[in-house]
Amino acid sequence: MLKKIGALLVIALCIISCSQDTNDVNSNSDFTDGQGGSLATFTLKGNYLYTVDYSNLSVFNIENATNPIKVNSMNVGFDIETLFSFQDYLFIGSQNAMYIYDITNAELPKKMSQSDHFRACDPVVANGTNAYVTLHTNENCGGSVNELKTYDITDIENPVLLNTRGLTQPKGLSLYGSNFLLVCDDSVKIFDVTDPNDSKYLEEIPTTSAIDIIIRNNNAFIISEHNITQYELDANDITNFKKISEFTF
Amino acid sequence: MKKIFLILCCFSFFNCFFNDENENIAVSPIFSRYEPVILTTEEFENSILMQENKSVEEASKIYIIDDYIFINDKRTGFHIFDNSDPSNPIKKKFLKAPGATDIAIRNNVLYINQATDLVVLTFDFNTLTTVVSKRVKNVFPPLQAPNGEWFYEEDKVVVNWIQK
Repeated sequence: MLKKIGALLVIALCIISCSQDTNDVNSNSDFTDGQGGSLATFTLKGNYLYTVDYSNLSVFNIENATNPIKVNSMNVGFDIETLFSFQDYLFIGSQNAMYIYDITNAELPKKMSQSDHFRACDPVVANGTNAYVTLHTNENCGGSVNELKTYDITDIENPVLLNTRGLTQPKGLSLYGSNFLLVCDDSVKIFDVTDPNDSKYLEEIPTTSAIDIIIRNNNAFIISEHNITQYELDANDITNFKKISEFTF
Repeated sequence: MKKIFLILCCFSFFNCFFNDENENIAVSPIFSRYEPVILTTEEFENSILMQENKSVEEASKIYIIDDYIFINDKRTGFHIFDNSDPSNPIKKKFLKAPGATDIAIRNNVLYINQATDLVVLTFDFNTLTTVVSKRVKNVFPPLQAPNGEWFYEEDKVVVNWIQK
């Protein structure tokens, strides 16, 4: 009985992997993906949808877009909250740590590192050299830290904490190019991270109660408890941002 | 095939037990600060609906694609904004999806986490209408209350936890 099922499973897996090989030709991105904020738990990458829940990272094959197949699920840790992808890496924020997974082998994410921190809510964003984590305290997350942590991730298996900056109650965040980091705090704070060892606070966008921010090209979309505000950013003069609209709920 | 399905079911249940060991606390109705919002499985599986626009109760996550903005109203659904004119975004529709917090969109296909299920919707951006293309059941753990409480009853699904 078990043998039969085992055999069937093996066959099923073979079929799945074979069909994937044959269709690779079509995987040149003839699709448009949307963009989530730093608090997202879903991310699309190639033919896959990655998701995190309280404790697991799951992989869905979406080669046939309307027929996702769960191909893997692995236990990552406790109280997972956010998922961010950059190139072939997934950055997972939990209430206790930042995890980095390599997804070069798309269906078999491989844990590269785990950087523990104090208990708090924690979204992550990253580029090729650095990861930025905000920690904030609220009723649900507990803890008593409100800060921005900067890691050097040049050695992806050994992230090094470069510095910690105290903030009011930071939530979502986004990189703008490689020089600027925008953080939703009591206002949306703009940091110059050209030198991540010595990031500098430059200016604030006066949106209060901001939850998360998405930057697409030069446009910033800020979701707050009370509104969506849109700004046009200027990469040459970051302090020269222009408000496009504010939609109040 | 049935047998395989059963075995897979066993695995997914096993997964639940495994998770539950971590730090969950069973609901103790007397002292609990939170109350589960419960749907029957049938109600749950028929609960996704495109509605006229409505007020935003608890703004949560944001997702953008082309000229559209999706705002999650925590565990109730998604407000859909037409942002063709960014100086004047228009709140068009509400995609009711009890239990959902997250969305990802590729072309005209929406993926949402509706409590325990991954739901695939085919979306028409011109008419702002949608149909459920697939529901992948029980791929996510049951919703926990913010304090870790959980609830389980056969043929019932928790779509939210509200403070008493």
